[in-house]
Order: sequence, then C-alpha cells, then structure tokens
Amino acid sequence: MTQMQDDAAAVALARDGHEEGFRILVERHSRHVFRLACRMTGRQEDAEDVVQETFIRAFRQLGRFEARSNFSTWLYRIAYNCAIDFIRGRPHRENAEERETLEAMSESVSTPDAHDMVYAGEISERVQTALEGLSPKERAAFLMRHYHGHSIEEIGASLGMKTNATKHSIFRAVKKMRVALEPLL
Amino acid sequence: MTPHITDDELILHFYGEAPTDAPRIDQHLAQCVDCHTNWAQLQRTLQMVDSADVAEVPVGFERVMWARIQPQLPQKTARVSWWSPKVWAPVAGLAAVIALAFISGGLWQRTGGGTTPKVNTDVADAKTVRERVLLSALGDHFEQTENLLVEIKNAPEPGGPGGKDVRRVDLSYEQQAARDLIAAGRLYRDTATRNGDMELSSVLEDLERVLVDVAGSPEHMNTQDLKSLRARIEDDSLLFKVRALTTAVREREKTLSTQSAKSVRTL
Ligand SMILES: [Zn+2]
Repeated sequence: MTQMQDDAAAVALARDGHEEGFRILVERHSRHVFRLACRMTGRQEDAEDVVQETFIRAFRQLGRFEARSNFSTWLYRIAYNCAIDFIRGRPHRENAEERETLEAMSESVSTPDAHDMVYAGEISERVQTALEGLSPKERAAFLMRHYHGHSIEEIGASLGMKTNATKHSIFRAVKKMRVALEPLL
Repeated sequence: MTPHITDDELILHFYGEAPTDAPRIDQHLAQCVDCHTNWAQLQRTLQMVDSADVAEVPVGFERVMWARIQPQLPQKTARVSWWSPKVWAPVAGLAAVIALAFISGGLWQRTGGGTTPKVNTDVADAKTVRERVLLSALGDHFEQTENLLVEIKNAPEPGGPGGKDVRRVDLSYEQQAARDLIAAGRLYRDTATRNGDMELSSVLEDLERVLVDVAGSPEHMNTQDLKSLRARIEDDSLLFKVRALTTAVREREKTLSTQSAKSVRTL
C-alpha cells in the first residue's frame, strides 16, 4: 500500500512537470522493467533500449494513469507492448537455428547431481531458449501470467487479444517449457 | 472414473484460472496415477521456470537509465505554481499539517500525545481523504525509517557478546531498505522544501544523509564501521526526531478519521 501511495505521489509530481517525481519512478521501477525486458528480448543491450522506450512512453501517457490503480502493473503493460514492438522491429533472427537448439536441448544434459551452478545455469538457458521459440505476443502472455500473476483476462486486455487466443498462447508456451525442461526433471 | 484431465486443463488449474473445475480435477488427480504423474511433472517444470535467472542488473543501472531517459522527456513549459490547489491539494495539505505542527507549540516538545494540531476546517474538509492517504504514506515512511535505525542500533557487534564469533555484521537487508527509503524521502523533502517547510525538510535531509551512509556502507561491517554509523544516529538524535514526527502524523491521521466519520453522520 505504501509503495502504491508513494508512486501515486511521484506521478502527481511528474505530471506537474517536476522531473524529480519521474526520476523517483525510474529509480524505483527500472530494475524490474529491465528484468522483464531481458526475458522478452533475450539480450541485455536490447533490454536497456526497451527500458528507455518504456519510460519515455510512460511519461507521455502519465495523464492517462489512474491514481487508484497500481503503477507497476500499468508500467509493465507498457513495457510488454514496447518489447513486442521492439522485437518485431529488429532484424529477423534465424528461426531455424532456434528450432535446432530446442531439439538439441532434449538430448544430453547435466543432472541435478552435477554442480548446482551448472544446473541452475542450464535451467535459465533452457527457459530463455524456449521463450525465444514463441511469438512476441505469446511470450508476453506467458510471462505476464507466470511471473507477474496477471489473469488471462487482464493479459488479453493489455495485449489486445481475445481470451481464447490468450489461453492458447499460454498453453503453447507451457508446452515449450515442458519440452525444454523435461530432461532436467 | 471421470475422464482424464487434459494438459490444457492442468495448466489452467495450476494458475488458478479454472476455479469451477477445481473440485473435479482434484478428485480425479487423487484417483488416477497417470494424471497425477502428469500433474506432478507440470508443477515441477513450472517451478523450474520460476527459478530461472535473468541477467544481473548492472551496478548503477538506475542512474545510467535516468541519464538516458531524462534528455528525451518532452519539456513541460507551463509550470503550475506550487500552491495550485488543483494539482497540489494533497501534498500541500500534508505539508501544511506538518508545518502547523511545528508552528503550534513546537513538534519536538510534544511527543507524548495531548494536544492535536488545529487546522482550518474549510481547507481540511475538501481534502480529507487524499490528505489521509498522504499522511498515512508519510507516517509509514517515518515508521520504516525508525525501524531501520533501531535495527542498526541493536545489531550485534561483530565479535561482541551478542555477536558470538561473527567478525562482521551483515546489513545487506537494511541497505536495500535504506535505498528504498531514500527515494521516497526525496519526494517528501522536495515537497517540504518547495513549500518552505524548512524544518521538516531539514529533518528529512538529516535522515537522507544517514540513509545514504547505510546504503553505501560495506555489506559486511566491521566493529569500526558499525560504531561510527551508530554515533551518527545518536549525535543527531535522529531516532527521537523520527518518533516525534511519526506521532504527529499519526495524531493528525486520527483527527482526520474522526472528522470524516462525523461528516458522514451529518449527511
Ligand atoms: Zn486420469
């Protein structure tokens, strides 16, 4: 609750043209947006660009933010849409290569007995590869559901998708995760 | 036995998106080994997804991002004056209350309760709700700051009687809390300064300096680091000031609640 009140006060400052208010919002939320953007884009440099664009868009849309709602939820929605636009705008990555990686991944792996760090790194790598095999919207839908706990209905509204399409995006994403992580189970 | 549960149904079940089907699914899972195995695998997979890390956030990330974002913000030309009631009602109301607490008899002398600050009821009425929200935020801010200072004051000294054989004390949790408090405190200080409430502003500034020290100190402090930090807290009687502020803010909050309760009854 306190965080929400602080955010609302900072938004009020920023809206009035006091940059200090917006700086507080950047300081408080940019890390989370960065992590989200890393998952979406798969690359740190791209994620930084997404963070920058997200806050610039958020600043322009501050007038539409309703003080009663949660600032981070509102900001993440903008961030996901920014990331989707960003991925669509960047030169196409080799889809075939992604498919190969996913297939190669279902073969030999280190097991939980192996060094913990290696094992943890392997999980992260496999999750990221599975994410990259999804369309940007599918990826966003899954991440919003899984990491941010947004409901399917909210996700549909945020990404402009019908409820059924949102559900199917999540089903596809989870199936990919199962394929990618099955050897580690 | 009821029909098997599909993969998709299990996914919705996992995310709590199929509440009406939940009893049927749970019942089936309790009876069917195949579906139960499938369910357990799905759960393990999605727990693994939870544990997947992303890139470490680089040190100083926020500052770097702000340096990139700030020049690209559209410049707002029409600056509304500080006292514009439309924009500033809640914040101005808050600052006014604190200022009033200072003017009417001195806040520092009045920690044990008793008189509550009087305010112009015309001003207070219209803004009561929003003011209460802000007061509550400021009250929480002071309370959290107080808790943090107390924790540092009471942290077992490395190698001391309470510290057993620990050579260094781990304050990483406190440091994270300090960083959060710095950001929030700046907002309140900005408000107070612009409003000419120099006394509140200077307490917030004192607090910020100590919080910056906490945030910037080594994660594992030795006896010397810890002692000098404690000395700072005690020299400036910060704890005392923070407690006094909390009390003043909480009292004002109570007054506002009673006022709004009364106005509801008269409606
Ligand atoms: Zn079954």
